[in-house]
Amino acid sequence: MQYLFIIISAVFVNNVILSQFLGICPFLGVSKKISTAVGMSAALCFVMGLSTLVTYLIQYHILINTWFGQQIDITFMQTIVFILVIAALVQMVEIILKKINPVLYQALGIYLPLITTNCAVLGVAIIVVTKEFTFGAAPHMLNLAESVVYAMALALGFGVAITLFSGIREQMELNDVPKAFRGTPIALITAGMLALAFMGFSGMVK
Amino acid sequence: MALVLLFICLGASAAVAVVYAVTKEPIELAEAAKVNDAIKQVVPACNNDVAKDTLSITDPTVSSKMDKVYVAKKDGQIVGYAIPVTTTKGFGGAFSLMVGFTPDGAVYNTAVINHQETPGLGAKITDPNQPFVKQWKGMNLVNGSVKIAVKKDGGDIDAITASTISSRAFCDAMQQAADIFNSINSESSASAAEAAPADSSAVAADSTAVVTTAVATTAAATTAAKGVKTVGNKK
Amino acid sequence: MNKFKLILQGIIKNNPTFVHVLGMCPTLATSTSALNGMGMGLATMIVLACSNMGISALAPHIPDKVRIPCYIVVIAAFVTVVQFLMQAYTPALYKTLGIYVPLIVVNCIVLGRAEAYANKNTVIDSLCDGVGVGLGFTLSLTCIGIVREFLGSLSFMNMKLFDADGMLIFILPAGAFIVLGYLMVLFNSVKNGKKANA
Repeated sequence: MQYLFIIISAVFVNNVILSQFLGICPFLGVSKKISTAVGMSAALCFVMGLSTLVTYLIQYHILINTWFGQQIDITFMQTIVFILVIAALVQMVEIILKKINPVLYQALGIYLPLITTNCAVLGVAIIVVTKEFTFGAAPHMLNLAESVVYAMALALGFGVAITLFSGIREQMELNDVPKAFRGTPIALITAGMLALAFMGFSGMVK
Repeated sequence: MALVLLFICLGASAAVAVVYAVTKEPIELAEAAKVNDAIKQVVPACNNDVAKDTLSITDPTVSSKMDKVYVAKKDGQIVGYAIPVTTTKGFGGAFSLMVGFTPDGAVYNTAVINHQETPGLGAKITDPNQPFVKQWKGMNLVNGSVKIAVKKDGGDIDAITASTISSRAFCDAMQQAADIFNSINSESSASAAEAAPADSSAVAADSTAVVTTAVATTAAATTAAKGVKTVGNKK
Repeated sequence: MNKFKLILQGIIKNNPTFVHVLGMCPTLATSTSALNGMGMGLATMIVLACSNMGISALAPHIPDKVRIPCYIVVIAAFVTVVQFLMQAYTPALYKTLGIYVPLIVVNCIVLGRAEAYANKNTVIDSLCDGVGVGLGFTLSLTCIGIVREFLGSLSFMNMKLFDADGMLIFILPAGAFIVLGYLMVLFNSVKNGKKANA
């Protein structure tokens, strides 16, 4: 039940793009075709789940831990450590995927380098270790399983939004858009309409 | 190659550690200043150090996250209480309020400490000129004349238009503050009348709160409340 | 004079928001009011100027293969420094900007300028470029903030202009996309109009 709340909240109510503004660059950049949009979201889902798992463990077992009999808290290194770990992780996933599963690599590989600078990955990694969530229970810091589920559900929400959006953009190719609106401006206005539609979900689950 | 990367990482970490050490104190001061500002806003003019003059609440039925009450005094006379409360029912998550009472139980003022409500909607709780925020001033929450709930729920409070959830959460926070105030009030009247410990539950109508003082200046009250223990302040 | 031109170029010709469409996340998220937008823009500008300087100084010593991780570490260090300073001296602004302060690390503008400019130019030129692009970013964010604040809450720089409620939608996420879209149209048509006249 708890996990259902988390998933609905992450996919619809707190949609990562349309209400939290994370990962807008790929949202505008790779949304011209449905097929690339789906590939990107699949790669993102994988990387976000994995990076949240790793950064969560780092936060609670390395940055806050007892070393040599001394309780230490070096969370001030959070930003540097997380971004380096994410960059290394993405690189590693790319190399491993290339060796083990060339078919999957063909499908996802080209999106992987783009993901390092996707602020959704770092953003979610930081949010899950700093913010308290309610999800139908008392406010608490998320545990490991909840964090990973939340991150992957957010990536799924990214997928839902970008797939819908690229569908609209494919149709829009055929329209006669005024010259000044062509390209990014009309895409932004469309995204605004989509965000309006997603506002209907607000308040459904906290 | 790896050496250069290692060197840069070391340099960067050292720089960050230095800045962390330098800014640690100002950050803590800034946090404390936020609470102090909120206290000053919600109590009448006073001349004691309110931030240090605290009572701590031990009763689990009214304990909130911040289990402290700040006491404002003018020339030794209590002129108001500032009660920090946190509600988890906000639209964007938990939010914290500082609620100021005069000794007779009327709300003097309120101030929002932290919130995550939607800008332009629920965030109106932070605007002192909003009718929703103004309506609380002077309202007596402890003598039973006001039902602390939005009108939609049969209470006496006008909600913020289109922000019923935030308004309900605000009411929840005010109810907590009122409960805490009741527990202090029953305590002080109990000590004033030197009532037997058994009577203190009768004075507080719907709350069996027990309060102990954390400062020496009001230590006299401690003797009246038997069987309670002082809890250490969380911060 | 030359340096001045460099700064100016960052503001108009290389405007990160309207021309290159970079750094969209903080642009949309923090421009709910003019002051918030300006705060975010200035924080980014400081990081950009410092990291440009640092990277252009270090670039000759960094092997090509580990270039990107090195840049990221330098940028992350400056971001963390700015984060602590904001937390200490502008706590209210820090609270409002929230998660977007650490996220300056992954702002494509910062890494983009490091890769495209700072690593092949002198320290002083890189500083000017950083200040220019940072100012361009700040101005764009402030503009968007002014429009959104005016439409959404009928106020300017937190001062209420009319005693009425604004159109709320412009403060909410949906309005951010729409305002940015229309401002971009305006920017494009002004730029194209100038080109046609020349």
